[in-house]
Amino acid sequence: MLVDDHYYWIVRINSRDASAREVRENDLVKVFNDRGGVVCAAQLTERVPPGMVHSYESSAVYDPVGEPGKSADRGGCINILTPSRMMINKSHSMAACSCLVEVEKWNAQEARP
Amino acid sequence: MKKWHMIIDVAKCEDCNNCFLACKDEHVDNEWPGYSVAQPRHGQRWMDVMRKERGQFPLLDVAYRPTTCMHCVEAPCAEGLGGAVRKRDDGIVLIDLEKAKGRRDLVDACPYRMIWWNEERQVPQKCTLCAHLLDQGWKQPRCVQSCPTGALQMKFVDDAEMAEIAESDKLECLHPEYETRPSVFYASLCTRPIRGLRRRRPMRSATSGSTAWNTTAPGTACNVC
Repeated sequence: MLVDDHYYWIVRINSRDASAREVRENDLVKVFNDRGGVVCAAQLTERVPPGMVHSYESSAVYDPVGEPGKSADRGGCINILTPSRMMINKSHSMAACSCLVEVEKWNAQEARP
Repeated sequence: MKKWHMIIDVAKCEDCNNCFLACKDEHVDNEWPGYSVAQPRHGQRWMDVMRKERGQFPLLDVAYRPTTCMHCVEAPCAEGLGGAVRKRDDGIVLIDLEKAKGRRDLVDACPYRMIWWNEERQVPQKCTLCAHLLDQGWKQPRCVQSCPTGALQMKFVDDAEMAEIAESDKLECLHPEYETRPSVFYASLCTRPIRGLRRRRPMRSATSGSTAWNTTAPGTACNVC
């Protein structure tokens, strides 16, 4: 999704969750938890239930808006948010593809140091 | 004379977007001399799965409609516009890359909005039905080949036979009121009001936005067309 000359990853969010956060279609939002944050463009839909958001992990572009590791990513690396533990001890498969997150409207001021 | 026709069954489409991706794989950054210039990475959707939602979770009704160039028999882009678009004998409508240079008006000539402008090359572009592959003996374009549910199909038949198929399978065209006689037919599409549904009020979409491709006409309750 092209917003202000940058292609953002899409996160799908239920319309009720969106209106509670004053998020409208194609608004930039920060999806975050304790592990980090990813700036995405919001797509409002009824195909995800309230309380759940959905995004595909297909982006390998890590593009932090500030200091790497300490600022939100706008490349769409949504796996920043999922746990990094492995499925079993000696395998490299991911254990989880879901995690707790919060969504808020993206404040561009955050990008400036 | 046999011609290429596409049949799209909207009831079988589940929005996997394989057709869209296959089209991108075939045309983005790929030149097919005599057929098409490379499709830019962003901004063009030669095969576009349009999506419409009605209701609110969990009472939800979603419809998907793959949409592409209709390869019209009476193509508005070809008529009276200086021969920049040619109609081949096999029904495929192709933009002539030399004659169409700088012809931005062609983008607006298509009532289905299926022609895009390539800013870098200054040329209008659209779906070629993978004519470069069909001419090599392929039986179907990339989008149809990649469809896992059989929602997209090709028929290489003459007009009379196609009319029979359309009659027996109850195929319809998108926006027949444009009177362009498309070569792309739809199954499970209802362009007429459904009996019994006429008196009901159409459900309102909670998320009307860029995803809605058209509004439901008053008195009809069809979510697809």
